[in-house]
Amino acid sequence: MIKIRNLNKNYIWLSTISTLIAGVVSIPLIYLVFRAVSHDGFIELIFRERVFWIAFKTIALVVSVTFFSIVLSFFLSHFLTKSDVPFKKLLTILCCLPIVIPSYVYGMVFVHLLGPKGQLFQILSSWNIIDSFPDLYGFWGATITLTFLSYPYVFLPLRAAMISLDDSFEDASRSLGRGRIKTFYYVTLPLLLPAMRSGGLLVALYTLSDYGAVALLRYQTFTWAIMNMYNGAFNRISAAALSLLLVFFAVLILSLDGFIKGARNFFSSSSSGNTSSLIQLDNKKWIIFILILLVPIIGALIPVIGLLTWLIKGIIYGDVIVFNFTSILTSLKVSFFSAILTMIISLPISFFAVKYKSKFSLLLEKISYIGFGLPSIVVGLSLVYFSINFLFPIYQTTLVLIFGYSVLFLPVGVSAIKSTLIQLNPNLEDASRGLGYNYWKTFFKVTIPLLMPSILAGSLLIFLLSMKELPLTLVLSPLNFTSLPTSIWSYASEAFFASAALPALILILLSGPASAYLVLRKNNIDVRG
Amino acid sequence: MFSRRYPVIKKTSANYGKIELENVNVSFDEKNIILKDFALNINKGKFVSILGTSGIGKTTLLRVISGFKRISSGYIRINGQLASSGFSHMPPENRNLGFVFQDYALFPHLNVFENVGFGLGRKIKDRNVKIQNIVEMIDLKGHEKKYPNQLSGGQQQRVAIGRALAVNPSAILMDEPFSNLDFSLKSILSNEVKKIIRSTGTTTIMVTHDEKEAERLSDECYLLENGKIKSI
Repeated sequence: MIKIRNLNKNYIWLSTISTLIAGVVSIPLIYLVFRAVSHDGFIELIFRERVFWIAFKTIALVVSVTFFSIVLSFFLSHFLTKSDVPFKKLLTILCCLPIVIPSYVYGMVFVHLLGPKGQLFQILSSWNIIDSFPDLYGFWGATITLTFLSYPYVFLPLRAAMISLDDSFEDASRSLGRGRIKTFYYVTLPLLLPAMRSGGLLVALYTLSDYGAVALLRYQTFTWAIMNMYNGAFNRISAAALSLLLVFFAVLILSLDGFIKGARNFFSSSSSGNTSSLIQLDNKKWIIFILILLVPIIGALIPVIGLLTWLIKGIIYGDVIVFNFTSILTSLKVSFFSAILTMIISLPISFFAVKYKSKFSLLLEKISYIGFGLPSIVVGLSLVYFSINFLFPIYQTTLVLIFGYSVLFLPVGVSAIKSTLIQLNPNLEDASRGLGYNYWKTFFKVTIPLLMPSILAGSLLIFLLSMKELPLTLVLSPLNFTSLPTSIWSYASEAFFASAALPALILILLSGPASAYLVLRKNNIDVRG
Repeated sequence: MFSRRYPVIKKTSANYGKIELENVNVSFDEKNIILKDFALNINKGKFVSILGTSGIGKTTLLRVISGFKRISSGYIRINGQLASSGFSHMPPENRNLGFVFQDYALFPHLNVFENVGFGLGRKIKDRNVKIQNIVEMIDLKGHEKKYPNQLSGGQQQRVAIGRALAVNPSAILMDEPFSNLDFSLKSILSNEVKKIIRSTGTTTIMVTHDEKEAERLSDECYLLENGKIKSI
């Protein structure tokens, strides 16, 4: 229940703005409900045996990808922050690179290189090393692909949490008689849980809404079924009904998230920072180095090699490689504005959720996460429908496209700001108020500068995600609009792989430096009080 | 992974609470030598203060004694038992020492009761009674359910002391324990802490840069300078 003392002017402002944002963001959901309910055979459609199996397969994939992403990220973060493994900075940069590889590109290359009749099989069989290859289609293929593409969503917050985790907590535990394993279980794990939760949540929702990889690896999930209905039968009503089920699962994930222990807000009262020395790996140093290096090799190098192979083959065999270079500028422009808009609308939602914690603020925060759980084509079509009916002057303009990205990537912005905001020592703001600054002056002079590293990191992540987003771009782009993903898609769908490889490589090259910045930036502001 | 078993030293043993450092050398690298042929003997039940300017290595000395940092050469004996040498190292969890950190390092995800009881095993007899006794001793009855961020600086400090004492340590090490407190609170609390520690008869090593505080609380005062120690 909201306490009376909280009902001040700032509360009213924040709650009004947050409610408005949540309202606008939930338009796709309203559209879905409207379309699904208007369907006569809604109940029969949902309670079919086939739908049950699709639901089961979807959940299995979400659980396995989230689990393996957390395990992989923990391994990487632990050794890259706490040990003396060589070339740490380089490895950290490389480990972030898979985030820039679009799932449809990875899926194409994965099948092409590692499929039953793929390049690797052909090479190995030509040398008579093997005569059959394991079938990588289906569950395990989709799990491997999506884990290696989405683990950076856990790795980035987990790495940041491990860096900011004061070693004196672990030292205190050990001085009280708890060994390394018990210290990890009782101290380290609960303190890292908020980072794992926010990252794991993003991975679960990413997996739930992915279409490109699952379609190419022939694993039937909800997004695959919905897309088939749109593209095959163009049955919008049935697709809307299935999409509603997908929304239900997104809500289920968000609800389960709340049950995980360790969700309590806390901030570090420490000021001494990391004091312990790094774990000395000695002769295991290079084994760990190679194991870490394998992760970005599978997640980023293999798709790049695949694309280069297509491009070189295309050039050798004399394929005509046509490419419209204005698509680069368009991609950069649209992604830039989407990052700015998303962070602006993320701020009030995050602040309202942390500063005025109540069932209402929690509800608004949960609503803001819905966009990531919905398949982007559904968000796109709902916005098309909405703009045609209610905002016709902006229908099929870049404005709607940018707004669509913001709906999709709002959870990234909220998650980035919130995870830092809950660890921010409230005394810092109180100190500013005590020194004569009012609420808003404190907000701009103290809170925002302290949050700036998270805001920049969040913006960059949204920028990268917008750059590679395909289904939403296809649905919402104005006439004659060409961006990098639409170029890749149009060439690849007509089997011009050499032409598709060029924009795909440009997309990866453009995103690479941004990823490097994301991990190299130094957090000069100590948010611990 | 198997951990080595260390013998339990009885409280009645003559060496219990005794800390000896002999020719201890500690360095970060060839240029940064922190402790050079360092020697110090602390007898059971003594309250010893180590003074020194910032960055001189006071915290490192405590980390070396508690086992968080290894030594290059020399010997450290705790309760008469070899804890560190150039060849062997007893892990911190086996040294039975209480550590009060400068920033208290209270676990932010645990409340006062859970923080105080953290070092006590789950199956220990009368666990809750023991924790409650400590909570009363540190004058925090009624605050058991509060989290560290809901406590004042002085209360946090008392929890840190209580948590360290709850495990019945043979000695307690305090790293600038009053530096985060204001002047009046510092004076009241330091006397309180001295009373609590005296009542338990625990050997105490405190590092500080405050000369007056050291004189008021300690039986013996030493100055750490250029990696060596001088009696004051």
